[in-house]
Amino acid sequence: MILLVLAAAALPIGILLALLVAPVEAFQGEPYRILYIHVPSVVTAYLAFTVTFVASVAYLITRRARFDRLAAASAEVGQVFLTLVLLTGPIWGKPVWGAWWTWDARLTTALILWFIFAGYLMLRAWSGVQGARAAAVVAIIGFLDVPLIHWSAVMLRTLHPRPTVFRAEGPALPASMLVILLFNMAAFIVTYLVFLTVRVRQEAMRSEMGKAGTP
Amino acid sequence: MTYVVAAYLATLAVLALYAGTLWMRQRELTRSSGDRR
Repeated sequence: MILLVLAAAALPIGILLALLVAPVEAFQGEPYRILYIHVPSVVTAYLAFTVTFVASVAYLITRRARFDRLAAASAEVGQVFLTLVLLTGPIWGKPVWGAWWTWDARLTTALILWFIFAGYLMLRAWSGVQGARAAAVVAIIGFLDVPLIHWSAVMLRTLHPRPTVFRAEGPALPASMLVILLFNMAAFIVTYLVFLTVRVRQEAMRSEMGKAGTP
Repeated sequence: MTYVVAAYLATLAVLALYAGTLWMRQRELTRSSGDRR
């Protein structure tokens, strides 16, 4: 409940800060404000898929159903935030690059990640409990795309800008922008935790009902 | 500014849609667990 209140308060405050308080960027102008939802969505999706990866490894080792439920729940919520990345990215790209989409390394690897986890969720939906082991393997292999997305903008020549926050030399943003960006990241992560908590509880309920229904 | 508004509205719409889906799923689960009792 505390998380829900925190998310319900932090999300609108973060949006207001991004739209009304954050300074306008000198080169891009107003479209730069999309950064405050695009980057937090990326960070939250990475976090969600990392949780799925760790929980899937834990499930394969221990075979405890709670790890499988956590992996499934986090993958679904992660997919929602990855969808936000793929929605806000093109809307930002159009005024800045002049194109909604370009098949460069970072965008393509992000789209591949979306399809991998769409496949993962379909596998879970169709195979039920029997598919848990196969789903865990898909999640572990699929997660390998996450570092690939991050490093594609560093190692390869892409249209997408290099990371401005998580880089070895420290954040490239001025404090006035960085504080609002970090606030929005926190708001998105709290929202992820709310969704994750509900989703894990639902999976546990469904599992209990399944057991109760078994003769 | 149109692009900014579109991006923020799309974000809020997706989050609201997912929250609604979770809420409906929860209602269904609660009803089903009540029926079993």
